[in-house]
Amino acid sequence: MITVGIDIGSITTKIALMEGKKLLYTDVSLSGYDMEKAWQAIYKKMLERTGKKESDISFLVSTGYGRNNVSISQKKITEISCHAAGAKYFFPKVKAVIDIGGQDSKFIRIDDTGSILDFVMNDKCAAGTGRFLEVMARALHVEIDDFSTLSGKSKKPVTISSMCTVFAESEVISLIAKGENRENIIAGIHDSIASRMISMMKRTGVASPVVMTGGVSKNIGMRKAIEKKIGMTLNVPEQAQVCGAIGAAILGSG
Amino acid sequence: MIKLTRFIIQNPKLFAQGIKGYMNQHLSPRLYQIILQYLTQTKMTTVQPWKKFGVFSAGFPTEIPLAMGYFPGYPEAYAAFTGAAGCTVPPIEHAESLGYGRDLCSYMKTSIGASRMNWPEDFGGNRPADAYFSANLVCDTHLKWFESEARIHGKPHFALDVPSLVAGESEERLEEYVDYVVQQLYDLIGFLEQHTGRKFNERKFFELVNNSFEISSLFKELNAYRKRFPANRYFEWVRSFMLPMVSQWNQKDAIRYYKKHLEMARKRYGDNQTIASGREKYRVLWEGITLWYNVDLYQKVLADKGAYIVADPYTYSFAARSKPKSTLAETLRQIARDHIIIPFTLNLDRRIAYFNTLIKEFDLDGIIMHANQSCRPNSTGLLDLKEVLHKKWGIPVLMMNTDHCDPRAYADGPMNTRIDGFVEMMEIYKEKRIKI
Repeated sequence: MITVGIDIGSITTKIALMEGKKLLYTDVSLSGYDMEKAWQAIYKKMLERTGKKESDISFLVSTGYGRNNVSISQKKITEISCHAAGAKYFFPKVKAVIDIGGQDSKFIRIDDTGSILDFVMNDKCAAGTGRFLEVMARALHVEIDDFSTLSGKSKKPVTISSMCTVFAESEVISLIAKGENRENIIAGIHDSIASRMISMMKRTGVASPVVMTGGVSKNIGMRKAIEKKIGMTLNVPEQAQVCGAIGAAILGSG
Repeated sequence: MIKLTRFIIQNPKLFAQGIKGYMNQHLSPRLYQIILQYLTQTKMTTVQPWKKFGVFSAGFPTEIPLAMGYFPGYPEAYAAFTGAAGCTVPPIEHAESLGYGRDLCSYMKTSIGASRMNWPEDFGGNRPADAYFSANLVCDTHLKWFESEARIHGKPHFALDVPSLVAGESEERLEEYVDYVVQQLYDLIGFLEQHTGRKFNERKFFELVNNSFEISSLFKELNAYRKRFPANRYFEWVRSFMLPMVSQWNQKDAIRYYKKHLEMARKRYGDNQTIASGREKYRVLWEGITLWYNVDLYQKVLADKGAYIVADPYTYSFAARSKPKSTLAETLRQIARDHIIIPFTLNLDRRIAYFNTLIKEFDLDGIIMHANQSCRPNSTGLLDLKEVLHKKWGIPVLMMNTDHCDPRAYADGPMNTRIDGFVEMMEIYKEKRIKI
């Protein structure tokens, strides 16, 4: 049985194709303004690259903020369930999932069967999300992909006290003006996101093993900041960014 | 009426939006009539100088001032109507431009903003009163809000201080609290006698307390039938069904209204007050103040997924009036007790016990807790409550971080994801319950 999962996030669109439990294909592209175009393009590309026909696909599940925009979707499932299913696919003993995406961050508790026990998401605010990191990268004139390396060089992370993205950006700009080095500022940004994550995690209770999914999991500095605060190692699948789409494809197989 | 006419001329688009908002409430014609009657009566007080107009906060024991001839104006009710009409943003923004912070009560900001813009009660405004009466049992903001209004208009203000029962407090301490409130109720009588120049009308007071008791009893009896009522009536129930009980502007009419509904319920369901199983896919309890501006959340977003609000402790909290006793002293003591212990202000221990009962009694599949951004006292403790209930029952609980009267605090996209996730958890919970 061939199933497809499409995860339309606020920044990127992800796709996964599975045959039974075997992951055959994944891809990531920018969501852009037109979500309809975004999924159509990535879907078309997947068909071309894998040589599959539409008729080969038994079930297609959409997830993410744009899940309702996928007209060919046979089922729409939240990214909460999909990330949990994706994390369980890579780490069968997983008990909790941290997903930091572009628009929101979540902490999901799951039981032995992979069912959601509880979840908590960030308040209606971009602080503690991928978007927050993007804004900070812009303020620091640094490529977001370099955040990981630069934070590793920090000797003394600064404290970012603002709880709001806009205020935090001002805080970062004033730190730059004071001559604080970028490495310390970036490490401070990671710490501030980690602190937010920890308070969210404590609301539902921390359980291990914890799997981190979502695009931000590629940022080793971010991962380390969270690990330091929760005192445990995070499991990060190689396909962490596509975990939601993989979970959607898995849930599509029933 | 002059105010309303002026408002329509100055804000034709907003007025049209408000009418559309009111019409979108899915209320019965009789409920529309009740709202209009109440608003009209409020306005009529300006041409009836012999009538005293009092402005009351929710939870105040209105029977005492009403016995002295005061008409009860409720800024929170006017703000709620304005919220339902979808017109709270301009007055809230106006209040914020006057310096009221974004995290202050949106009822208060709607009322202050609309009043300063000279809007009529239909759109949240509040005419100057002869006296202001606040009680802090359900809200701490009342005190300063009413104190400030009274000072602005140069009118007297009576503030009733009701202690909060914290967890683990003894019965002896409760009695001390009752003594404390009773003393204030005597002070209130003195305050009214001083400002009206009349002696306290005990006969009228007993009649009003008895009416309140009858209204509460009828409401409770009706509430028992809620398990049989189609749950899609939540909105109607909360929005206006409780209005006659809360506003008390015409108790006789309220009694007639509830009696009629009770007769209808009895005729339809007999003594059967059990849940009609299978009617709602997901049976949900709503904790906290309703989202006045967001009819779609209940009627579309939740309902389309088969989730219906079947219970809400908030509404029931207003039905806490007991039968009058034989003497004034005993009756005041009972009123004091009724005001200290209501579901809306229960301490955590009592709240947990209460919710445990509701989960069983209403066969709940999930709970939505409104973590109200501009009503933090009401939101405090929700996480603890959630944790205990989740541990004991495994029941899905959604913390909805938004606001009761300020639509700017509600964003469809992020909220829909949370709601969908909540519904997915309810599905799992239901399956588990069936297996057990």
